[in-house]
Amino acid sequence: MGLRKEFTKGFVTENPIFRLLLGMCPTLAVTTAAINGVAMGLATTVVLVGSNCTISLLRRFIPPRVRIPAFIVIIASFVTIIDMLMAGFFYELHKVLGLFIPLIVVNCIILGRAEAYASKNPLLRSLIDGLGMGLGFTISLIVLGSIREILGSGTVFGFALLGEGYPLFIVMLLPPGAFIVLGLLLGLMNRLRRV
Amino acid sequence: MRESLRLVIVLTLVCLIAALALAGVDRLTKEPRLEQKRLAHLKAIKSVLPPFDNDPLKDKKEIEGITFYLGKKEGEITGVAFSSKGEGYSGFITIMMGVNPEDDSITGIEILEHMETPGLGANIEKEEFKNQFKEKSLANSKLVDGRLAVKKDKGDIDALTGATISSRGIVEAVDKGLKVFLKYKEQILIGQ
Repeated sequence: MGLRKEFTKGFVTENPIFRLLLGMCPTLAVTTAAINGVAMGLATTVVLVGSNCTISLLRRFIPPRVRIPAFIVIIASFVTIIDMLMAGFFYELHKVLGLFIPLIVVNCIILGRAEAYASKNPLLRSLIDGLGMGLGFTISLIVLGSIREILGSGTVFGFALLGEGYPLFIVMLLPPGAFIVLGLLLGLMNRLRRV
Repeated sequence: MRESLRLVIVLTLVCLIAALALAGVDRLTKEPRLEQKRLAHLKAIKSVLPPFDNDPLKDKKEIEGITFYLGKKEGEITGVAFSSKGEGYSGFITIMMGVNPEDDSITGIEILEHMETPGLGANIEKEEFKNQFKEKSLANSKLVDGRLAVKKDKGDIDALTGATISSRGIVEAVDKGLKVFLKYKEQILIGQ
């Protein structure tokens, strides 16, 4: 597979949310607004690229039988380091993202890519895979977040979109709304793929 | 035997390096992290107090474990800032609030920490919501069983749409704070 394809597969053909159905916990939890999707997506991308590169470099060194615990230690360390660096040097951003960062540890996209890709591929490819998957994840979160924000708050990225008189669809901001929108989008993606 | 030894060694090495990296970053960021927290605290104190010309971080009084920061203008106390807590939708909400000792009314509130739902309860950080508490006091509000309350509970505070529980958490924190202030008012103002 060419490098370009390696990068773009995360957007549609192997989109982590809509095709691989990975990382559902942060997906459902944070997509109440479009901006949350951007923040969560980019933070995940950074961790994903970091862990993919590290694991790719160590792939010959880590014996298969202990790979999972080794991957988990590496991923958890990356998340904690990013959390501390942000708290120290980017406090405003940390205030916004602080609630989401611990959720990255439980995001199976990261362990999934480590296991399925980075542990078998060289550095450059793993880096590109992490970047593509991370950005694909980010875009999917923005789509989900925008739909829920428009229906639930009448705004998108905080800008009022629907007039004052619009009856807000509060359930869209609650967990059931996340499942409903995700389900509909999954159905749409499957439908489009069949055509 | 050989094989298992290798597993143990590799795993130990991975953990050791991870631990070293974490310890290093922890050390490197400890000072800036504390500094940021202190700045956020100072910013909250500044924004809830009326104009002052002293340093409230120095002019403070500790009573029963609560720190009261005094804002003074030309030697006169214009406001007292302290933190208070209320139970929100997911965990406690900590606020910083300022009170005017002249009529025991609120000069401002600021959210310090919360874990409310982004997009719903997290809207407690919005200015419109926080500003409605200004100039409120136990004397000029509609109390329900002696407490401040949101409109839904027959009080007179506007709750956020879809986030009544988070709004109640703030109201609880403000109500408790006002009572704490009245309880210790004499001790706070004595000798000033």
